[in-house]
Formats: sequence, C-alpha cells, structure tokens
Amino acid sequence: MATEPVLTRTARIWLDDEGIPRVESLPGAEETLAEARANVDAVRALVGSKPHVLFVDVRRLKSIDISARRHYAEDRSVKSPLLGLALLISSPVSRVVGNFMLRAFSRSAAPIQLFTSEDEAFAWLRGFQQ
Amino acid sequence: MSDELSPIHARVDELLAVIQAVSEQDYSRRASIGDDEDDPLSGIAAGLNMMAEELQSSTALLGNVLGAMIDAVIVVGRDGNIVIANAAARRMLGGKAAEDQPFAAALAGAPGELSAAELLARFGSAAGVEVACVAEDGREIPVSLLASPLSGASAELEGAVCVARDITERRRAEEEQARLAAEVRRQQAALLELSTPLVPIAAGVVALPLVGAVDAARAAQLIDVLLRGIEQHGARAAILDITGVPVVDTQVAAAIMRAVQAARLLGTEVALTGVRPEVARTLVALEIDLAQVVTRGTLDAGIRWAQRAAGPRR
Repeated sequence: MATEPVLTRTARIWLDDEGIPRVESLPGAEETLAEARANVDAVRALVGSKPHVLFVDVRRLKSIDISARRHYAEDRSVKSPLLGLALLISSPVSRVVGNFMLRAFSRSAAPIQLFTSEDEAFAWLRGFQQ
Repeated sequence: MSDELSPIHARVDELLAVIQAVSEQDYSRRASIGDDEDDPLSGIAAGLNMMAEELQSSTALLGNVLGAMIDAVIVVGRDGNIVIANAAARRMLGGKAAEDQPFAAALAGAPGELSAAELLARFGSAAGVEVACVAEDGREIPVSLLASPLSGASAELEGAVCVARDITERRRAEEEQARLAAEVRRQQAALLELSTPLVPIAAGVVALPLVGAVDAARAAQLIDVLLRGIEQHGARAAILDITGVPVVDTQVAAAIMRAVQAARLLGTEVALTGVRPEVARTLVALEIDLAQVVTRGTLDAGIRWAQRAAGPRR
C-alpha cells in the first residue's frame, strides 16, 4: 500500500503503510501558491477523489504565504474530501505556521489539529478512518 | 553591547521596523526568518509576516468591496467628518468627499456640520431619506441617503456609515411618468370632447349625436357641451341623438334627463332621437319617466321637429 515518495520543490509526499498520505516539508521550504498547487496535485494523484485523512509535517517549513495557505484550505475542502488534517509542529516558526493554518481552515468542514507528537497525530487520524 | 548580543539586537530592530511599517499600513516589508529552526525570533518574524499579509488582504478586500459598490459610501467619525469615502462618493462629490471634511457640507439645506448622531437622527430611516448632495462644482444631485450607526468594540457610537444612492435617473423616470400621465389625461379630455360633438344644424338648432358608451365622465361632459353649445349658438331647440349609444342604462338615462332639464332652464326644448326598440324596452324597464321629453324615432324627424320648435319667436 505504501508508495515511493514524490518530491516537489518544498515537500516529500507519499502514502505510508496504512495508506495515509504524508506530506513532509523540506528543510527551509518557502511556499507560495505555485508550491502549494504542486503539493495539492501530488496528494490528489495519490488519493484520487476518495475521502481521506492527511498528515503534514511542517516542522522544517520556513515560510508559507497567504495565497498558499488559502489554496490548501480552499482547494482541499472543495475538491478533495478531507476527513481530518494533522499538522506536526515543533519549532517556533512551525507553531506560528500551524496556527495560521488553523485560521485558514476555519471555514472548511474538515477538522484540523496541531500535534507535537507524530504518534498522537496518527492515533487521531486513524479515528477518522474507522 | 556585547558582540554576542548585537545580532539579536539587529534582528529585534528589524522586527520593530516591520511593526512600524505595518502600523503605517505599509504591508510590503517582511522580517527575515533565520535558518535556525529553534530560533524564537524566527517564529516572531514568521508570525509578523503572516499577520501583515492577513491585514493587507483584509484591507484590500474592504477596499475592493467599497470600490465595487455603485452607491456612494461615506464613513464619518463621531464628529461627522469623513473618514473613508469610496470611489463612487469621490466621483459624486469630488473634493467634498475628502478625508476630514464635514460630510454635512455636501448635503443641501443641512447646517455646515452635523455629528454622526445628528446624521443618524436625520437619515437613520431604513427606507432612506431623499435629499440633495452638493457636488464640488455646485451641482445638486438627488440621492436617497441612509445612515447606519458604526459601533466599536465597546458598543459606543464611533461614527456612521452613510450610503447615498444617486436617484437622478429615478427622478427623471418619475417626471417622465408624470408627464406621460398628464398627456394621457389631456388626450382623454380631447377624446371626450371629440366624442360629444355639438353640431349647429340650423339657426337656433343644435344637435348632439352621441356615439359609444356613456360613463360618468362622459355624461358630465355631455351636459357641459350641450349647455355651452346652447348658449354659444342661442339655440332654442336641441337634439340629443342616441342612435350610436350601444347600451342605455340607468346612468345614461339619468344623464339624458339631467341634460334635458338643464337645457330647459336655459329655455331650450330638447328632443331625444334614435331610440332603438331595444333601448325603448330598456327605458320602460327602468321606469324612466320620459313624459316631459320630446322623442322622435330618427334624427331626420328630430330635425324637422327642432326647426319648428325653433321657428321665429314672437
């Protein structure tokens, strides 16, 4: 079920052994709309139009601009049924990014939560798959 | 300052500079984010950058909304002075929509200054109040003005949002409608006149051939035309011909009787002609007393009667 990672300019994206799509920001990644589009397309290529959960590790992300934040929130909620989104944070920058992502997703129906523990994040996501 | 602290001070200075720029609504500046993931200053810089972006986006959205409105929107502070005027307001009022100008100065007939509360008292009606705005060049523009209270976080009145809709076109349409209605009334009156033509057919004899339905307005017109014609032509005999009246009901019969009585008061005899059999049946059924009215079957017979009746006076 696991797939080989796809590498975009800002992230590594793959399906793990449980079939959960994972997005891992590359160190120092700076995301604008173009990068966000590429990442969303890569996830969609993995999951199709099936309802799914998503794990995103933003610990190494350096910046994400407003158009990228909105694209993640608006595009995913409309075109790709998202059951739950877990954001893994730890650094001061990733904490701030995570909080701004929470705001961007506030109009979306998909639940979103910040985690500092990968295990807890996956435990939370598995709850949506049952 | 130690060498160790100086880079930190430099970064704090940079953050302060971005904060100052944002406070001046300059959202173009960004704080630099270092490569050290655990650097709290990078977290602050990232947050500051994103806050500036969100502020810029909200401000742009507000500007776009106001700019897209076809109505003039003028936001005034407590003192009634203009804080924000959208593009439509600037087009309408020119320099009078400038910031810090009293909005009341752009309202015809208003005192030079009105506070937000006073504007709300005058123009707070949900339906809007029709008033004229005075443009910079002195032109008066009729508008429907609606003022809504602007409250801050403390719920205290902070100003008013005034929306002025240019009703020049609506006024023009109303005036055109009124002009057309007057024209229709004038034409109706002219038609009425034409539908009760009085014909002088011989010396001292006039005839009034009625064609078409007779309603209340036309009945009144009938009497008026007949009396004026009698007076104008010195008629001693008059003929009311109803050959062309399709239906004779109580109203028509009453109008005819009134016309006959009024003519008599002027010393003129009146003959009713063109009474068709079905009309005669109706008149009988309605129990109209025609004993005092001369009746003749045809207009010809009526003319012969009238010429005799109008013969030389003694």
